[in-house]
Amino acid sequence: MSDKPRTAKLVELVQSVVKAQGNIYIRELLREKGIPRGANKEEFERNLLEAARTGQLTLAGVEDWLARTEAWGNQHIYAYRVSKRLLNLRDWTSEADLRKSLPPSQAKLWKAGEKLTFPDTLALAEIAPEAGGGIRYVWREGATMWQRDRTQDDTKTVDGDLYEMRAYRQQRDRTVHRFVLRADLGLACVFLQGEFETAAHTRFLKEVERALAAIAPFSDLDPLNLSTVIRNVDQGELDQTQVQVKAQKTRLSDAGAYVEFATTTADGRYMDSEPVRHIRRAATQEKGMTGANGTFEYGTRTPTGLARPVRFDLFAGERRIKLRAQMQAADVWSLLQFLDANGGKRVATAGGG
Amino acid sequence: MATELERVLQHLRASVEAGPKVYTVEFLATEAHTSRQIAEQALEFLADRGELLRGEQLRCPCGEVLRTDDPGPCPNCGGADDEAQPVRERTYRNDKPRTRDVRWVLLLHGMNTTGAWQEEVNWKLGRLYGYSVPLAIYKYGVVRPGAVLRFRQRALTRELAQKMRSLTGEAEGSGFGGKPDVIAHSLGTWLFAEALRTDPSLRVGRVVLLGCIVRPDFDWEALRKTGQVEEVLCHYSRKDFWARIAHYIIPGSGPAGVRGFNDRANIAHKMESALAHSDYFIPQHLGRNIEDVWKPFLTGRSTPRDEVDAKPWRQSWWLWRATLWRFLILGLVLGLAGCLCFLLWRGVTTLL
Repeated sequence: MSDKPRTAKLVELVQSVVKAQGNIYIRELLREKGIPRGANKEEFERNLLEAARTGQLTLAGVEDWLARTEAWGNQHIYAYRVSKRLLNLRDWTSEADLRKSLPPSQAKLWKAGEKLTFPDTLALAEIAPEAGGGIRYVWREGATMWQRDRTQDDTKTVDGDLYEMRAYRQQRDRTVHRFVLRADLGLACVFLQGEFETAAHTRFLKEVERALAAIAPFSDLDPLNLSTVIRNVDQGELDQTQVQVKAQKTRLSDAGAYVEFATTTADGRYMDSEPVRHIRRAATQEKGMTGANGTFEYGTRTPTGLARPVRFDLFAGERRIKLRAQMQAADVWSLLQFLDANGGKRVATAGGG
Repeated sequence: MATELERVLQHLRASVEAGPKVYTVEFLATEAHTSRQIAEQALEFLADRGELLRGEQLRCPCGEVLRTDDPGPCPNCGGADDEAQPVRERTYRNDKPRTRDVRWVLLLHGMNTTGAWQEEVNWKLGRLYGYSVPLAIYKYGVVRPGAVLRFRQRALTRELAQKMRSLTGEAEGSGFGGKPDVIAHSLGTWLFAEALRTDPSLRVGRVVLLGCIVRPDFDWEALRKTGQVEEVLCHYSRKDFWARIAHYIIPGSGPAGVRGFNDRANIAHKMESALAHSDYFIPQHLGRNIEDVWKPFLTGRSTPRDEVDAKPWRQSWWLWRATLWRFLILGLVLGLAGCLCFLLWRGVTTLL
């Protein structure tokens, strides 16, 4: 690629990064590359473009950073345990083996590396090996979003009636969905961005299942039992056997009925309350209660080392994990490992590990 | 108005004692059944005095509470109603540490009884918490002669350690969690300390020692550092005769029940001036001891630290320790018993 298109691509990428990424992560990119920071998105963009012009910022550098941060966190996850049969089926660290296992229709997407194409409809864009052993499928979609912009609100009189016009600004957004199988962790996950819609998620999971039929059939993937995870994580905090995750809301249910323990404050924990904790203890002995859903806080750190609790939700019925904030890939995997460790024993069934 | 404010302040202060809490004006007004204005005055009063910290949070119209430092669409409704903005509300929180839950309790009795007091403690403790607290009563029988013989001591210690392991496993299996709190009396305190010292796999929570006959220089801190024990409370009395003389008779024991432990910095102490060895359990004292001393300690609300500046204890000259004395006393007791039997036998044969 000649320098001119490369620079144009970099500028386009920088602009999309500034629009799509959280400030905390853009600051980290600036810090990582030794570029002067700034206070707001305008200043970030100005400084990044200046760095791109002087060569301090390169296309490869931004792409590498994007792979670590883009579409990690702020998403829905369906997590599965990979069966031993599937793990032993091939050498997941061998790129040649993985590539050979792909059906011909997918072979051309192997390490496609194109990070800027966002088609109007969701499309499989890339298949790549995972560093620690495993495989990654990436779907991309460009979407049109409407952002409320009060500054353009207006009122107008038409035929004697007063109308209030509420303005929405159209903007292009980018969506990245992934399927990642990490053989080193024995986990496979489907990551979806955007709002939750049952039909859209069901459709996409079917699409993933179809795409993965040759290399990782879903019969070898056992959905993580989030009901067990909810009970164990919540109980772990109650018993102080785990301190990484704090429960903000936990719903335990029996068929047709439930009890919910929750805090009404942003920073509080329901377990801080002695009477509520005592009632929760009574539920400990009730083996008939099932973990239905919960909201938890996971302790992460900002790139500069400050504590940054991230909220996530677990929906046992839908087997869905929802991360409420942008995170680094390493933090997401660390959380998923934690949930896996709290998901009960792996059962050696056809589908299980 | 002033009286109402005082009432709400009193209510608030009592509530604040029970661990970390975040109040809003609305919540306090509801909880204390008062007006928003009085609730706000009470919260502001304590905030001005530094007893509560002011803060803020955002509440989405859907009910979800949002952080002020994490703005963005509501994660619950996604800001579905574009026109409805989150409302900023003031919060007041205290920085008290979370109180502690009692999981299950192990009761160990002394040498002179099989623990009639345990039944009373069982009943009172069982009703004390708002949830079920199982109490395991370990009975090893009456061991008057056995307490002075090393081999019997070792056997009793082994049996206790084995029982503790088995109870811990059962408690874990039934969801009550692993570590028991322990209330031990007299010889029970010594057997318990020995069990911990000789078996590093044993783990307990908080420990209340009563009429304690453990050596005052016993190294509880070492057990705390390795996680075998969370905290220890020595509830002792200056009038405890049996704790005072135990170390002349029972090998390896000491008078902690009459003077406390040497380590005043790491071990909680509560001194009584008039209780005899088993008076902790008599009805006129038991309720108060549980409510005012043991429960606050076990739940982590307060840890008694008495001000008595005790001189470090040193064991007495070897001849006065439980070396020869215990055999002399044992011999004396057996001799007296023998004489009694002989006289009885002579009496019976003379009559016949």
